[in-house]
Amino acid sequence: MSPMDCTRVMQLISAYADGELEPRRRADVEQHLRTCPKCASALENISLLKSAMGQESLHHRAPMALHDKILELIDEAASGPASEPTREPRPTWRWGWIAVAAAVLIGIGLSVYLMTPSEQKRLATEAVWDHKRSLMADHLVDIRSSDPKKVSAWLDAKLAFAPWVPDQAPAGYVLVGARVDILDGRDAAALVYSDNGRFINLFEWPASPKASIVNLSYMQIQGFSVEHWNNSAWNFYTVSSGDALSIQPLTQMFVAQTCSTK
Amino acid sequence: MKRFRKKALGHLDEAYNLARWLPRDGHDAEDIVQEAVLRALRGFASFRGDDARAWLLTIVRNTCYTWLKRQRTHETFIDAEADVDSVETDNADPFSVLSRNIQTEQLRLAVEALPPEFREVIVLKDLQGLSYREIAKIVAVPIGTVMSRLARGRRRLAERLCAEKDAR
Repeated sequence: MSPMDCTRVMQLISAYADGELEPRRRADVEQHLRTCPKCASALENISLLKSAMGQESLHHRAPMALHDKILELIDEAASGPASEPTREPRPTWRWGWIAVAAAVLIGIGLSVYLMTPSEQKRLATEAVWDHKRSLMADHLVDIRSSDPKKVSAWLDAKLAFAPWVPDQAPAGYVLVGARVDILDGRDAAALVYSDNGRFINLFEWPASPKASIVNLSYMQIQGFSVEHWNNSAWNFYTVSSGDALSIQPLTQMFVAQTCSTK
Repeated sequence: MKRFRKKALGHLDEAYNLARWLPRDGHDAEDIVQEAVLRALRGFASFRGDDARAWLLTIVRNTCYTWLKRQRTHETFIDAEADVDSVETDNADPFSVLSRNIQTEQLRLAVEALPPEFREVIVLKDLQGLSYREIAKIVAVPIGTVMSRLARGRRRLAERLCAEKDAR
């Protein structure tokens, strides 16, 4: 390969300084730099600029007032579902989105995706099987009750963990009951909600303490809608035969309420 | 909840910094960030969660530009690739070496004087430390364009600062 000329090196020198060149091009640039003081001084300028841009006073930090406003929003989102019950259909999913978005804002720094996409999909497929089985084998629930406290007490007694059983009736999801199911080889609480007669299974079980994930993902598997989310404490899978909109408000409220209470 | 807040504040700084630098005069930054956060909340339903940081910064950037348009400032955003990118004006003329001790205030003015297409990539790269790939996503241009805008923006900065150095 012929050696690079100055024009070409000048085009690449900036990316070279940023460490963004592929190895072969990098080597070509380096070879040229060894013999060309002009291009070498261009590189020096870029390095000086880059280090000058590191000066603290050029980095603007958000003022306290802005912090406070965003925190207000987070608090509003956290307290939204509990403090504003209304009779409109699904009035609270907006708050769910706010809290989830807030969770994303805070989660960006620690989005270590410990769960690989294939693992997510495997678990989602398992959740779909459990969902189908619960409908076909007429084994929807072990305890039939729309009272979250009763359902929660029943699950507490059956499981080694205390699942979260919120009342989502104000948002149009009626609690049908719950059963104990198996997901990922472990006991999971399966909450069953009814959305205008369509059943939704919401599986929850404790996450690995090492998992530090805020990640809401939607999948379609065998014609079913599945939504998954987990943090370092809980795994959630929501399954329904409807479209994305049939489960997203429910999942998002769960996430919002979990973020605000745990 | 404590950790939650701590993290939120950490990323606010990044959003705010971008909003300070993108419009030439940065005193609307707080309003821009708030509007961007509201947009982010509204748009969250369509977010599928692969790169939340880029997603957020994209919204901040776009909010900056709608803000600028709305304020009808003299700084119009030239969206024509032809104006900025296609005319290859790079040449290999020799230029002098910068002072080792670049004055912050001069550098700030020089960055502010750059056309927004150059300024945004320099802010995202040199202040926020994003990769070319991430910048390409946020600015919605190919990686090669990010590369050439950065190269030319830096060259302009160096030329201006050198001229100032020589004038003194």
